[in-house]
Amino acid sequence: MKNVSEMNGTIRKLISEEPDGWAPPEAPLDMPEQSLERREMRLDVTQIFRMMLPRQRV
Amino acid sequence: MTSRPNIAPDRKTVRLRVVALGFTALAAVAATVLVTDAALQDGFQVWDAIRSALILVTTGWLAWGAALALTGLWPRKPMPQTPLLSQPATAVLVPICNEDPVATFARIAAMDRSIAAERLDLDIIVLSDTRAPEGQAAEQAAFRMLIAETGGAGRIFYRNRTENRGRKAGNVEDFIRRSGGAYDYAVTLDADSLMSGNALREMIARMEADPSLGLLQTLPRVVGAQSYFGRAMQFASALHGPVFTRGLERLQGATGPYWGHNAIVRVSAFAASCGLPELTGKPPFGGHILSHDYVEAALLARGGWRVEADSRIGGSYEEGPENVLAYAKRDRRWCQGNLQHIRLLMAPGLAGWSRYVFMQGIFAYLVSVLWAVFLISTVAGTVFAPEPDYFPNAYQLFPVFPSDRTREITALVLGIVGLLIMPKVAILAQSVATGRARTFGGALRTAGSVLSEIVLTSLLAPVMLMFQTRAVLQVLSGQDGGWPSHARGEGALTFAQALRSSAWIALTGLFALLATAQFAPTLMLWLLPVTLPMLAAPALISWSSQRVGTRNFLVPEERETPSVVSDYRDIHDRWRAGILKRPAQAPVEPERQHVPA
Repeated sequence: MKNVSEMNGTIRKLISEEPDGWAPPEAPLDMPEQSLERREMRLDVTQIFRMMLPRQRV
Repeated sequence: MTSRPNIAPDRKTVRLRVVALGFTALAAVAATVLVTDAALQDGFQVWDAIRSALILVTTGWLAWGAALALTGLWPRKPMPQTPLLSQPATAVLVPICNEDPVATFARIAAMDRSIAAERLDLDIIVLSDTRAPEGQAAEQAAFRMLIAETGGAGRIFYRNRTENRGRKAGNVEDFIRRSGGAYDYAVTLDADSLMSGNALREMIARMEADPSLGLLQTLPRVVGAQSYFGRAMQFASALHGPVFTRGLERLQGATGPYWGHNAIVRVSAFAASCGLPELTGKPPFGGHILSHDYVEAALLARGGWRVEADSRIGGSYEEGPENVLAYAKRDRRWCQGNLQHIRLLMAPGLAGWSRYVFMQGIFAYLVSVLWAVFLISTVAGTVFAPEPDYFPNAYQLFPVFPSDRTREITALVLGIVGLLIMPKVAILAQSVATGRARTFGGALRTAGSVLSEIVLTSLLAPVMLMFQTRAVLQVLSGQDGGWPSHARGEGALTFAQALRSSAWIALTGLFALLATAQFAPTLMLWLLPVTLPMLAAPALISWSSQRVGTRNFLVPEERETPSVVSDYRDIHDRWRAGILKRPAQAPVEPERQHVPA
């Protein structure tokens, strides 16, 4: 980061010339996506028959 | 979801909730009985059934508001200052998007001065979502002024996001993912927020003292209002706001509210609990979650963290809308955000009170539509009422006249008006009795302000009802209003400007007046308080947006201006004057670069 004082009393440049250099320090933190919707239960009729009729090929 | 269990409310909170809900139910049922009984006199029609159902819900809503006020009427124990034994790493976040950068950064400069006076070591981070190149250039110019004013390089930062995913919530999430690991706490602000160093110190100390506290919300006081409308809202916020919020605090348990700004969060808790998904389907009910703050509070509670509001923490400020149109524009976004919560009512694992808070937010908007339908069904019921049957029995000699239920209906109307007005009168009486009215200019002046505010809000209520009804119908019909850019501080409206935005309300009022006169003349007098303000909407909106002096609606912050507020005004005025004096080849004036999205 640049640190330049201008002798004529105008703005003292204490920050990087480029705005990209103004960002806060990097310190990654995980933020997992939360579950807010209930999973739909798909009605599989074939599966129900399979469960009701063991050893039957359905 | 984490393995931390939800924090159950204590017994006192449960008792208070039962009493408040019981009062609400009693008032709602009483009103319904009166309406139904009156309707039974001339035969129960479908309109009567509709009206009975509607009065149950709408009166219940009013009664809940009254219950909150009554619960908050007596003050909480004063809060001793919590000692701050260490300085945990804390960031003050200022998410912005197409805001006036000179005003926003002047606020930051004032807050930085207040933070330094408290000898706090905080980072301030501007999180910009501004996309227009002119807007970005203006922000960069203003940021340079901010650093020069504060010498804040190395502790005041600015980041412009390349992709605006998730709007404000996504902006904060992006910060947490990139830099959250460096901080224990984050204070979230809006562009128009101001917080004193003392308030920030107290919030950090409270978080340090209670490791189970995930979020602490302050009650921001509105400052800087100049129009009649703005000052009335500012006054109501200052006098009534703390009482209603205290009611909320007593009922909150561990599942308090989050209003998106002027609050502090525990970064690790927030990161673990509040990663918001995109809801399936398209906006307005699918897509990014618009009113993210309520959802984040619910998710923190689900994650086993306490979420609390505390109105005793002073030094927290914000600005409010200066006219009805600015209010309606903001309200449109809130309406969509709250109605979107319908999708979340059955979200897994939420605390019961969190679901109830979602319901409250949804009803805050649906109730306007319900009132409109109630009025329509009242007129329709009168138009389609059958002729009285004076000889209901065969071979009857003497006629039977229908009972006059005017007294009961009058009692109902007075009861409903009472639910609206009584809390404000009770708050006024309490403020006079405790001496709080002195800070509002004395008992007489405070009473005058309360009366003026009641008159203004009564006049504007039908206009607001129309804006909210339109907003609800737009959302329910699938129209996505998005997140329109703010025009903070926009002030006086000409009659022409007001007419352009509210002619439809005036025409609806005229139609309603003529229809009532034609088809239900007996109801015309009862409906004048609704139809006349609608007819006068453009005039009301324009007139209430004009500047007035501080004689009207005086608030404590005007008797003694907080130093962070006066510092902001000084810095802002100085910067503006400096910008105007700059020679032609100087950097672009930030004010002119405030471009809407």
